[in-house]
Amino acid sequence: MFNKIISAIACSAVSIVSIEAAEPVKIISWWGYFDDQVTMKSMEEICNAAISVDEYYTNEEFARRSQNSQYDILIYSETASDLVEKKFENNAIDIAYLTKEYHSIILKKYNSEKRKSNTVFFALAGTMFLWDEKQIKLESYKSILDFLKEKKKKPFVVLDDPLEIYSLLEYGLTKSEKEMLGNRSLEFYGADQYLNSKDVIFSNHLISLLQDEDFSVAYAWSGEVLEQFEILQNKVKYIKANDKSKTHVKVTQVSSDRLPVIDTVQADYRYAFHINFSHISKDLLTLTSNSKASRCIAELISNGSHHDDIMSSSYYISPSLSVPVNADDKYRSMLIDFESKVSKLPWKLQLPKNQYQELSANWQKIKLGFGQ
Amino acid sequence: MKLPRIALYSFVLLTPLIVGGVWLPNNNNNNICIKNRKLIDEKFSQYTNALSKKIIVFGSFPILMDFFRSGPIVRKELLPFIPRALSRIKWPSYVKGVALFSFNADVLYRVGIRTPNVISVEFCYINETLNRESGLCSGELILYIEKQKLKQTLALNLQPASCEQSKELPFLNYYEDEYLKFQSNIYIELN
Repeated sequence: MFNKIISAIACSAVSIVSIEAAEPVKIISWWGYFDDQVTMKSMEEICNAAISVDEYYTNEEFARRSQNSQYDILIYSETASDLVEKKFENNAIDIAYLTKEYHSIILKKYNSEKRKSNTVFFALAGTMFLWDEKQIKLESYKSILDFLKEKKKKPFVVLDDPLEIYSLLEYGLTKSEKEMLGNRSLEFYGADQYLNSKDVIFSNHLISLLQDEDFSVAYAWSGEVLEQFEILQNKVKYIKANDKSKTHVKVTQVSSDRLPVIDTVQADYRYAFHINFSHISKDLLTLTSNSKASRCIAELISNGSHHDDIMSSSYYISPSLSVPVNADDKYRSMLIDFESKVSKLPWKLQLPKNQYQELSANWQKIKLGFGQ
Repeated sequence: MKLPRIALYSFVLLTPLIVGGVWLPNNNNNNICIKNRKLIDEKFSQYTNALSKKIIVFGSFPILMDFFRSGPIVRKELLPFIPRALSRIKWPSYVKGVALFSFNADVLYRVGIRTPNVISVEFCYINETLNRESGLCSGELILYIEKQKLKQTLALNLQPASCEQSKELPFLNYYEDEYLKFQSNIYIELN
């Protein structure tokens, strides 16, 4: 009898342990990294965590939201690092060991930046062009100024991030062009005159371009370019499979998945890193909580198979530069291309806080059309 | 064979009267129909514009965007602020309830009476600005409508006319502007 009571108590104890409530883990992140529910569920089970992800689409939105709520893990552009990294500095949390799988070039960069102990690189992207070869010949532009002058006439999607555009101009303009434009780097060298048009869309998300029949070019992050390219290809395959009689494949209905009105036969979409105009951007991860579940999730999303799943589903680039096992052909070739260029491509530029504030204010002016 | 003179006179005199008798009332009826149609279009457009302005204001509240784009924990934290945001809009009296849905069609919030007649509005954003055409859709607003009240509010006061096309008209059945897209299952009977 006594043994039965003991075993009953032991069983209850085991049940209590096994049904221990999952620990909440609050994450704020760019959209798209955590869309794969299978990966999310698996991470929750491994870490006994209940993950809640808040998505944002711009640095401004991140700035506002990260002040309003307390997050365990923050994933953000280095553009916002002044805002976050110093505020959430926590010497008691050291996750520098998560960098051990980094590619040597990336590790060198990480070490040179002397990040806080609770901050590591999460993902990389190269800035990329996606364009319609039938409308423009990207390779014919030797200077970003020539490109911008001509682009004024056609719809153009451009990254909504002042440091990305600042870097584009700093790297893309020749010395004599900078001098000619008055060396006004923090005023984007007067880029208002090229970007101040109703046809220019400032967006980090490329869905906008897919709605526009006249779309000719976008300057965006590589992950977003590949994802949207995949959507375009799938749509074409779907239409071809369902209507073989059509010689011209034209998508005319905006369906529930919000696909575009685009004549896929008339257009010839291509994407590439441009050796003169592309640079490397990175997203950082800051862990602010020392809870077991938060640390466990931070480890899974930074390394190993879960990290690979996140990278291959979002098409962003792991700091290890490794090619995930489940990478599709398009992603695989982009990664190989990126690795071959990583030592040549420059990194996105950073500015001291006061200069960044001035740049950011000028960027707002351009976006609102209050420039020249 | 000659027609009797009286028949000829009758034909000449009566034909215009008969034709006119049929044509004139029809023409008059058509005019009423056109007038009615104009009145209906004006009223519908007036109410659509008024409603659309209110919804644009509501859809532009940062709290709503955050609510749509949040995970379950922060969504719970933000929930108390949603009624506050709703109460900042003076909704027309024919709106009896409101629901918010995620883009995956999960109910995130519901308040008031559920009626069979609804207006649904998609909220799509470029960055933090509503943009129906090019934005990324984050959520949906459902307005539950009391049809009788809506009819009273519209106060169409139409002249009677047998206009076949005007027996029942869709209200906001499909509408889109630069910022929003509406759909509804509301038909207004004209009597």
